[in-house]
Amino acid sequence: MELEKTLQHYFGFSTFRTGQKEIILDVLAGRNVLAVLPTGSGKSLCYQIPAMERSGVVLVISPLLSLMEDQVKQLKQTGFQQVIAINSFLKNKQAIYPSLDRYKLIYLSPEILQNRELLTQLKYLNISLFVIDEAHCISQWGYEFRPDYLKLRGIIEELGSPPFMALSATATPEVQEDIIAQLNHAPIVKHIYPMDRNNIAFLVEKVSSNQEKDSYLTDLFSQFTVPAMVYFSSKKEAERVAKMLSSELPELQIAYYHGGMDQTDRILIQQQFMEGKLDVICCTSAFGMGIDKSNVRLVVHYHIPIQIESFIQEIGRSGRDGLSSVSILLYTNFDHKIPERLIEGELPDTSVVRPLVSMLQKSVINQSSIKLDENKLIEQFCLSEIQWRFLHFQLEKHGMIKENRILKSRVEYDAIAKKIVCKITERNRYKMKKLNQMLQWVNVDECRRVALYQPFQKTINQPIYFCCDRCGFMLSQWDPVIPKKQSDPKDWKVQLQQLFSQGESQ
Amino acid sequence: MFHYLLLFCIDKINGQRTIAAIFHLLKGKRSAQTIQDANLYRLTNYFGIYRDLTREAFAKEVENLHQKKWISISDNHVGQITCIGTQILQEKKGHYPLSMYKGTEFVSFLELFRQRLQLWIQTYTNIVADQRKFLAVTDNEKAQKWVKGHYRLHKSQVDNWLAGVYKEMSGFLETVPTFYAQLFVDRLTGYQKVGLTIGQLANKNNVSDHDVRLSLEAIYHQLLQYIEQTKPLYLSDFVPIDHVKKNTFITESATKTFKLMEEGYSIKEITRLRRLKESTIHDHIIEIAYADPQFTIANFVGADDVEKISHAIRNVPNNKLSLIKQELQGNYSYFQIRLVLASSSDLRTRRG
Ligand SMILES: [Zn+2]
Repeated sequence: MELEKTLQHYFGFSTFRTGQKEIILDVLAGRNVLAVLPTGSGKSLCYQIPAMERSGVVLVISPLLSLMEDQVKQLKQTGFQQVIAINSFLKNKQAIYPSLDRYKLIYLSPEILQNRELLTQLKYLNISLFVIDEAHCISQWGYEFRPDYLKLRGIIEELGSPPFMALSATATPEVQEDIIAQLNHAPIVKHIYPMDRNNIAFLVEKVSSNQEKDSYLTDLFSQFTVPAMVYFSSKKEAERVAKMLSSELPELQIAYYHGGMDQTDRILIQQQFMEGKLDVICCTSAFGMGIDKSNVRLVVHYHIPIQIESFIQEIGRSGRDGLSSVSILLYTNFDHKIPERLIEGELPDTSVVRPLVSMLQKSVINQSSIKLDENKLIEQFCLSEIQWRFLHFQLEKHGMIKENRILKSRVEYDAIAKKIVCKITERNRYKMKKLNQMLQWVNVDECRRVALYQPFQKTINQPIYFCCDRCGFMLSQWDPVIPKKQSDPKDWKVQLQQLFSQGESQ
Repeated sequence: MFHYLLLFCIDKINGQRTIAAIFHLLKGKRSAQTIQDANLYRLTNYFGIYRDLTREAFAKEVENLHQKKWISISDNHVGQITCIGTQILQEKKGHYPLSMYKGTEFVSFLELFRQRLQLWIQTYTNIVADQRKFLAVTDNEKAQKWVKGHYRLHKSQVDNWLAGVYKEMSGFLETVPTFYAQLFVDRLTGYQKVGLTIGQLANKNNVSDHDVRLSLEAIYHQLLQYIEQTKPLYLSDFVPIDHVKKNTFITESATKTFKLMEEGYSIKEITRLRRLKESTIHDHIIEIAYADPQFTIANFVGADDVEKISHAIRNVPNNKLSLIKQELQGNYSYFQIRLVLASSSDLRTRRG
C-alpha cells in the first residue's frame, strides 16, 4: 500500500502499470534485476520510486542527456527535489561533488563516470541501487553499443557491488544474454515483457521519389486529421517537409522538432503536441523520449530507420491508449543509401587510424608520457564527438592512453592500428547486417507483424483491429477515433481573457 | 526590422568603429569600450537589446546588407552606409519602433522581469485551475524562487492577483499596436495554453526570426516604461527592485575603482593597489563619467582647460580624437579629451 501512496503523491497515478510493481518489489528486496519493458511502459518509475522509498542514493547511468534533464525537471515539478543530473554540461561540477549525499537520485552520463574525482566522491555514498539505463548499450550486439558501458562492471565493483538494475526497451534474447555476461553473470532476476503491440497495423508504401512521398503525406493528412508523427533521419528534411505540409494544408497545425533547436522551443513544441494543439509533428529520433502522449494514431517513417530496434521504439509511441493506430513506412529503391551513409559516418574512417596512431607514437618518442590534447586531435583528423569517444576507448584499451595522457606503448604501433581498423570494419559490417534486416522487412512477403517481433519473443498476440498490408490491410478500411479539435481563439484579447479565466471585460 | 536596426547603427557609428562594435553593443557586452561607444554614438537605447544574437547570425545579416549594397565594408572591417543604404534609412524611418527601446535603462533586469512575469502567469493560471503539475517555461532559478515566494505571500489572494494583473496587462496592451499585443500574448504559456516558438511566430507573421525576437524585446521595454510611468498596483511587483539603476551600467571593475577614488586614492595609487595598467583605470573613470551625471571631472581637468577642449571639440567633425588632439596642438592627453567628451552630454550628442 505504501508504494501506491508514493505513486499517487509524486506521479498522480493510483495503480501501477504492467510490470512496474513486480520490478520495484524485487529491487526493494535487494535483488539484481534485468528488466525489458516496451517503450512507454514507465520504465523510469522502476528506479524513481525505490529512490523515494529507501534510504541511500540511487545512481542512474544514462546516455541520453536531454532525457536526463527532462526527468530531473519533471521530478522537481512533482516536489521531489533531491535529484541531480551530472554530465559534461553541468557547470561547477567540483563544487557539487562534496555534497552529493544531499541527493537521493543522481543521473550520470557514462562519460562523466570516467572522472576519478567524481568516482572517489561516489565511494563515500551509501548506494542502494545502481541503474544501467538503456542497458543494450553494454552489448556489442545491442543496436547502440557504447564502449564506455563496458567499464560499468568495474565501476560497480569499485563502488562496493551495490545491487544493480539493467533496463532496456529493446533487447533481443541474444542481447539479454550478453548483458548478463557483461555483468559477470551475477545472480539476476529477469522481468521480460513482450513488446508486440496488438493495436498497431503495419503498412509499407513503395514510391519512386521524395516528391511522391511529399504528395503521399499531403493526401494522407488531408484524409486523416489525427495526432501524427513523421520521423526523418535529417533535421533539414524534417523542417522542409513541415513547411511544405503547412503550406499545402493550412488548416492543420504542423510543426517540426529536432535536437538542433534551443531548449525553450523544444519544450514549447513538446507541450503543444501533448496538449493536442498540433496535428502533425515532423521530427528526428530526438523527439519522443520521455513524451507520454496516449492518443498518437499515426507514426510515419519518411526515411527507413537504421535498425529494427529503432523502428519498434518509434512506432511504439502510437496508440498507447490501446485504440487502433497505424504505422506507415515510405520507401524508395534508393532509400538504403541514407542509413548507409549514417552508418559510415558514425565510426571514424579506417584511413585516419594509422596516421593518428603514428602521430601519437611520435609525440612520446622522447618522454614516457605527455598530456593528450583532445581538441587538437579532433580538429586535425576532423572527428565527430562519437568518433573520438570510440577511438579514445580503443587507444585506452591498447594502453596508448591513460587518464588523458599519451603513454609509450610496448606493443608495436602497427599492430595496434591494425586491430583498431579491424574493429571498425567489424562494427560497420555488423551495422550493415542490422540495416539489411530492416530492409528485408520492407520486402518481406509474409505477415509483417510476425516478421517484426519474432526475433524478440516466442508468441505474438493476435491483432485487435488490423494486421498489416501483407494480411490484406488497406488504409481505406481504417476509421480512427478523431480527437475533438479545440480551436484556439485568434484575437489576443480573447486569448488573454481565457488564459486568466476572466469574464467579459468590464 | 533587424536590417533597419543594423543600418541605423552603422550610420550612427559612421565608419569610426569596426562592425564588431555593433555586435557587442546589441549583445550588451559589459566592457568599457562598448559602454563608451554606446554613449559616444548615442546608441545607449540599443545596448543589450539582442542578447541571444550569435556571431554567425550577425555576420550573415551584415553580409546580406553588404550584398544588397546598402553598406560597404573596408578591409579592416569598418562599415559605411552607402547612398542606397541612406535612402532605405530615410524611406523606412518611423516604420520600426526603435523608440520603444530603452537599452541601458533596463538591460540589467529586463530578462529577470520577463522570466518572472512569464513563469508567474504560467504558475498562477495553472494553480487557479487546480493543476499543480506543469513543465516550467524557464529554468532560471532566481525567477522560480521569486514566483514561489510570491505565491507563499499571496496564497489567499490568487484570484485578486489574476484579475489585477489581467486588467493592468490588457490596459497596457491596448496602448501598443495590435501586432505587438498579439505577439506578446501568443508567446505566453499557461493553463491550457502553450506559447508559440520563435519560428512559429515568424511564420505566422511572415517576418524573420530576428524580427520576432527584437519585437518581443521591444514590447518588454515598452511595458517597463509603462510600469515606471503609471505605477500600476500589481505589475509593479514584478520589477526587480534590488537594482540600483545608476550603477548598473558600470562594469564591476570600474565600480571598484570608483570606490577607491571616493576613499581619496589617486590614479597612481589605484594603479598600484589594483595591479592594473594606468590606461585601464582611465577607462574606468571615463566609464563613470558617462554613467554618472553628478561625477565631477575637476580633479583631472581644470575649468579653463575644459573650456579650451570643448572649443576644439566643436571645431572638429565626428568627434575624432586624433583630430581634436591635433587641434589642441598636443597640449592635452587623450584621457583629458575623452573625459571632457564623456562629461558633457551636450558635446557628444553633437554630430559632425
Ligand atoms: Zn499481418
